[in-house]
Amino acid sequence: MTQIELYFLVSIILFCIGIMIVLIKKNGIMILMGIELMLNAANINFVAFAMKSPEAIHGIMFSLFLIVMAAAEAAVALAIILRVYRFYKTTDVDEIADLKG
Amino acid sequence: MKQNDFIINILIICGWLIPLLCGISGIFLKNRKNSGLLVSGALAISTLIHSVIFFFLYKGNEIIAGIPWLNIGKLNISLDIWANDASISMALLVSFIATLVSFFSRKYMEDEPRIHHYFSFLGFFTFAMLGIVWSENLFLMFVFWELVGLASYLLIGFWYTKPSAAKAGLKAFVMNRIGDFGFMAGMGILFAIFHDLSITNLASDYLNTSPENENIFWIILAGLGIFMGAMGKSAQFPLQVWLPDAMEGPTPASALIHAATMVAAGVYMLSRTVFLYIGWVSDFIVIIGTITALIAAFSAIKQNDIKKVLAFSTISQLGYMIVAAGTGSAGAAMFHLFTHAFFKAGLFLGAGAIIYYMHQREHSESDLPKYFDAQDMRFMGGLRKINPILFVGYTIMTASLCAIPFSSGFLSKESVIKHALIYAQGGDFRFLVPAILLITSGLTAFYMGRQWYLVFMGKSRLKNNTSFKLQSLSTSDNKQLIFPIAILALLSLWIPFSINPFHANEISLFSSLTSYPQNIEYSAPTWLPATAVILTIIGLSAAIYGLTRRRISYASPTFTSKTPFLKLSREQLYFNDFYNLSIVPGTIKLGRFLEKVDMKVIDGILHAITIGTVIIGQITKVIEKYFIDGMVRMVAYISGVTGKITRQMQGGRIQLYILYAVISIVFLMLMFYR
Repeated sequence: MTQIELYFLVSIILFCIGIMIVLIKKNGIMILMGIELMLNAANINFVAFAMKSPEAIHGIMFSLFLIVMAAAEAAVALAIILRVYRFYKTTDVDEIADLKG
Repeated sequence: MKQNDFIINILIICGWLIPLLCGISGIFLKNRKNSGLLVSGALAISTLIHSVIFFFLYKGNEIIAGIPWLNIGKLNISLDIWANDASISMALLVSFIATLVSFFSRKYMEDEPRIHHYFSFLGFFTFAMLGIVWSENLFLMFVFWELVGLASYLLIGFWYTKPSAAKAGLKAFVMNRIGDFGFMAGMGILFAIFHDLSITNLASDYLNTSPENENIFWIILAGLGIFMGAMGKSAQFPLQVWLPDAMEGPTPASALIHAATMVAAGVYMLSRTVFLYIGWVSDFIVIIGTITALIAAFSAIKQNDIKKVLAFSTISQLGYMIVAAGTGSAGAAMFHLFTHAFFKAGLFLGAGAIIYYMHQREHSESDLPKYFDAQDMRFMGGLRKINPILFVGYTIMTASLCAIPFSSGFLSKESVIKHALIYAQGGDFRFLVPAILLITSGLTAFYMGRQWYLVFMGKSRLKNNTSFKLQSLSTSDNKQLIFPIAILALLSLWIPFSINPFHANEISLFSSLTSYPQNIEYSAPTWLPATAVILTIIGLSAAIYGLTRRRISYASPTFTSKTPFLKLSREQLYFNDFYNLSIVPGTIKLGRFLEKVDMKVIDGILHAITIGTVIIGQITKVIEKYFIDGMVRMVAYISGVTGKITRQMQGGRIQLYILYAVISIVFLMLMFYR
């Protein structure tokens, strides 16, 4: 197993954990955390590929961009969840079903 | 011209329906007596309408008008009126006699509790009879034919609590059914061949039928069938037995129905459809008429009931009319019908007045014999003194029936026998027909002379007491009884029909009495009226001589003849006994047998069918429950399960949707991996 494959393995494990959290957890904040994990798994992938060709900086640029975007996303999403909690007194995504037809 | 026709049509319908409507509404009157006045008034209005049409409005052109009624396949039946000379004068005759009879009945039936029924039957009868007179269609005529039969049944059985009356009504009804069977069969044949039942259309069809027609046998048979209807209604041999029994009904009803009009309906129908009787059927009609005339006259000579004598004489005279119709001279038949209607209705009303008087005697006198019968001529005698108008009128009408000169009967009977004589020129045994008719006219004179003498002449035989004097039937108290008789007696003279008392102008007379032109006048040989008159006088004098010689002083039931020949007459030639012994038990047995067949076979088949249906029903029920319902339920179950599964896929759980998305992306990636 080469070094890069180890990175991939970590990335896959991380991504799968993120997906499982998104699918299984009822709490909105936990789901957000799952999404963060998936984003970070993608980030690890970018960095790993960037390591193969050091002269190109696209991969590192993309991972930096992603970190910023994840922060922004977390801010917005946490704000939404806060509002939702204020309104429904819960953050359970199954309980919030007012738009269900 | 058109407008005139329209007015005539409207008047005809008014004169037709008024008796019916007044008769029906008479039932609902509070005071039952008033129904007599209502119906008499209605009939008088009807007579007035018909006389207005006859004397003023009708201009000699035939009117056929109506509305379509039934359209079944090729059968088109329309409610058509056929107004021509014959039907208008017949309608006038019917309504006129009905009017007189209803006025007579108001007095005669005054103590009857069901008088309102009687008068409504009378109105209904007049309506139905006018229906026969007007109808242009054989089918329509048959409908009214049955309705007059019903009216006759109701009036014969008017006193239905009396078993003999109920039986007589039934007998008349059944006998008429036999004839009507023939009528229906004839109509069926005519419809099968010509596809039409309108009389005028049939007449033109018959003109175009050649003797080589392939259906000629059936066409002749149709004539026989229609004639059978007339045989039943006009009481011809061998169906004549119902008419004497029909005398159980009220006497005025007998005058109207069983003497003047209804029994003449057969003759009227023959005169309307005279073209139907071709080939051997016309000979058959003549033979039947001759036999009827002779045997009825023979049966009349030993009857003791005043109405039975008149009933047999009616049958006999109807035989004359049928002979005339059979020889093809509808004019002579209708002429005799008219004169006969007047004098026979008058005779019956006279008999009614006499019976009314005898009933009064029955209630006022004491020590009468136990077997007293108001209609039995053996208890009468000397009645000439009770009322001169009744006596003179009855005498005139008797003379008219015996065909004595200066009476209407002389003219018409001469005309009938003359046409029989012309028929006799055809050869073979046809000379027998006029000969038998002449002998019958002698017999007529004999039995009518006997009746006239027994009733009016001599001394009263009511009591065995020579000094007994009969009370009179005063004219002023009994206007309603006497006036109709007087009017009918005047109409029985020669004047209404012909100025010349010895010869009628047949061309003008027949053209106003028949529906088809009959423009040939035959002059009779002089020996014919001479022979007829001589035979009449012989008959009359024989009757009177025989009765004076026997000197009947006091009636008793033993006063019957022992001679076998005369006993034959008394028992009406044993026709009733013959039928009661042969046909009636056979028919009843057949009826019982058919009832058994009905009960066992037909009901059995029906029961089997029912049980089979139930079994099949049970089987189909099981199949339905487990097979068809099962299939339906299976479809429902499958879709239910599918629905349950698919419902879960879109249950609103976002995480599941994400799972599906992930799974599908993984699948897509695996698909595009290589």
